[in-house]
Amino acid sequence: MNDSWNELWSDIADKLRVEPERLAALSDADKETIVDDFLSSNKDEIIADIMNLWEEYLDKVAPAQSSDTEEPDVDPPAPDSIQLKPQPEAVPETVPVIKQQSPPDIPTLPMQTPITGELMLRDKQLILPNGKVSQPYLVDCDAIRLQTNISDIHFLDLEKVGLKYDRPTRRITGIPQAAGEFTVVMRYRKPNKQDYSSRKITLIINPDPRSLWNPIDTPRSIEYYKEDSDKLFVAVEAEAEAKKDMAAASRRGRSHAQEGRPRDDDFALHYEDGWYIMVVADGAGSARYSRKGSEIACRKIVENCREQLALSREEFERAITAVHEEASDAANKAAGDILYSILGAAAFKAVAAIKEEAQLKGAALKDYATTLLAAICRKFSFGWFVGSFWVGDGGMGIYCRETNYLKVLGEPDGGEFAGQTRFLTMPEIIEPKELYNRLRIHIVPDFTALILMTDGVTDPKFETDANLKRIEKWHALWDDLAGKNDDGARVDFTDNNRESAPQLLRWLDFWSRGNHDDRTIAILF
Amino acid sequence: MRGEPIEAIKVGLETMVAALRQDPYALETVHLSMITFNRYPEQILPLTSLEQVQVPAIAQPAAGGTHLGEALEYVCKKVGEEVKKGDREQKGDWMPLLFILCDGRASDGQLFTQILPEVQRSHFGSIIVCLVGNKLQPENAKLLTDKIVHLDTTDGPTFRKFFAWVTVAVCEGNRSLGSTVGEPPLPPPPPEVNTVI
Repeated sequence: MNDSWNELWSDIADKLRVEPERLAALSDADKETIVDDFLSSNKDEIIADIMNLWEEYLDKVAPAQSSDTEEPDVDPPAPDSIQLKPQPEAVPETVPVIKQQSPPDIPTLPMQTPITGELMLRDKQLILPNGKVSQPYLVDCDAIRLQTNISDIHFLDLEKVGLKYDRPTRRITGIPQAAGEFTVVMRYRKPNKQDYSSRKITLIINPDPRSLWNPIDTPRSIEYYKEDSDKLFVAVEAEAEAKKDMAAASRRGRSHAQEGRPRDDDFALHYEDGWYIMVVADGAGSARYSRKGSEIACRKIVENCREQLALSREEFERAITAVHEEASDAANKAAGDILYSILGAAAFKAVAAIKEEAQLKGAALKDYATTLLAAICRKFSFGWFVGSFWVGDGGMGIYCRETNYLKVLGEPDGGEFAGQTRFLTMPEIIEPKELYNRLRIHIVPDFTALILMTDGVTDPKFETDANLKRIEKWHALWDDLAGKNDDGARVDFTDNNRESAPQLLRWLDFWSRGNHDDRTIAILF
Repeated sequence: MRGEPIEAIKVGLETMVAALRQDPYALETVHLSMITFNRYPEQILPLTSLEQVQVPAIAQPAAGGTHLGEALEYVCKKVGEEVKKGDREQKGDWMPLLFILCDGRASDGQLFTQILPEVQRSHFGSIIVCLVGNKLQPENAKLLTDKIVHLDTTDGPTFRKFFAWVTVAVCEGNRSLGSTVGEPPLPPPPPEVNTVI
């Protein structure tokens, strides 16, 4: 303990009117706390004093220099060897002099909602709410004061977490900078006691989840290797008028990337003789070969639809025209039967192909479990025909922005719990009646987009089955795709825009809390 | 259980929570609830998101008796209240995983037998029983699940290894539960932990 410390101490003791006998009895730690206390409660006064000293110093040492244009070259000796920062928000006793030529370069981040709460007493333990890195922290300590009748609360070691205690408002504020479990000490006075008591409190700062994701490339050596992302644009060349094109993108989810596991989703697009074929599939996370299941399903649907359309296209187109002209049950039934022979049969054959692959591999069919959303479409003089088939979760719909039209092409197969669904590979799905019930036929004058999505997209964008049928949600999705999002991702749905596929792939990287599944989307626009 | 095992559980739980916080997916999705039981069950931590969890103190049992049946009844009740079921307007939670640490005894044998069907109906993604101590009675546990592990020793390091395994099981279950294709995969337990057949 040096002389200047003792001097400062007796000065403070004097100001605080501490009796000499009590002074002798105080431990160094207690003295420190009282000094600490004194310094922070008289902050403004002390800062004013320091500013005066600083100005005096400048006048004395560098009278020729204009103090507001340049800092002196050397650090000035601060009074009593305590270094100080000549700025009002300085914490006087600890912060070294910081020289700044220009304001700090702070990137502008969107302001996050602070974590709020209060210091609480539970089972005789003091509890501070958990904080999170980079998220403002605002915790009230007044309730505990009133509840327990303690006074002069302050904290040691909050600075190391990036927080501070504001005495006037009795709040802990700041933005934590590092994750971990920290021990902070709360100092306070019990009623009618002069001495300070202290209690240790564990303060947990959670990491920012975004900083923890660490993508690992899928090893190429695994069975059924699949690229971690995929995209495709199918341009339909126009002769007289602009024709709709197709774009699709598929991206491995962060939860898979974190563990170097492959993408389970897949898609396929095809255009031929006026017919558009679109398929997306989501391999089950718990099935070991589902990535192959989804791939075979997509490929086989396209192959089988092409084959069958080649045989029955004219008959089918006549039946569709009849649906438009007659609008009768009989006409609907006739067209439905042909759709069954095309898309229903394609789904059936896709399962057969997966079964064959499973047998070759010596694995079970359920190891290849996958969902399936498929649509075949064609433009007629009277409008667009869309035929579809859907098993599992995700979503598929015809959306028209101008007319507020939305047709969801089936029902998602959800369960009571997250992630529960049905798969193409379940035996009951390929029963003829079940297959037929999952087919849909629609004729619409025109539309903005026909969209097929796996649950990696519908879970974050629609959340519930009810929302999937709400036009506002589709408007929001379309706005989002067009650039109304935090990531600056934008898809240009203009005719023949080949860039739409890479744009879509980039858009799929959006951030949504807790939603990090594979994402696949296919759009006809 | 008394004394060192209880202390070890507390340390184990804290280690587990700290480890789970390092997994970004767990950090955003995992919720924890803790229930202790002796003569009575008590929920010492209501279902809380991992971000907000602080492992509470676990008191030494004051009353005798191991009312496993009553504890399970209480767990089922809490699952009914706190775990969200999906419907048209609400997104469902993931299926809960149930970890039971006990010596296998059920002082309330009759209630235990009565409650078993309700446990089966509660849709746990997995039930894992960890038998602790040396006077084990695995018969009851076998009625609950086939996933039974046994910790011979009740020292800290063994518990830490057990909780490390639980952590992996939680992370894994959290990703691939859901499908009705089959049971979610459970990683093999560490060598110190014996699986009861």
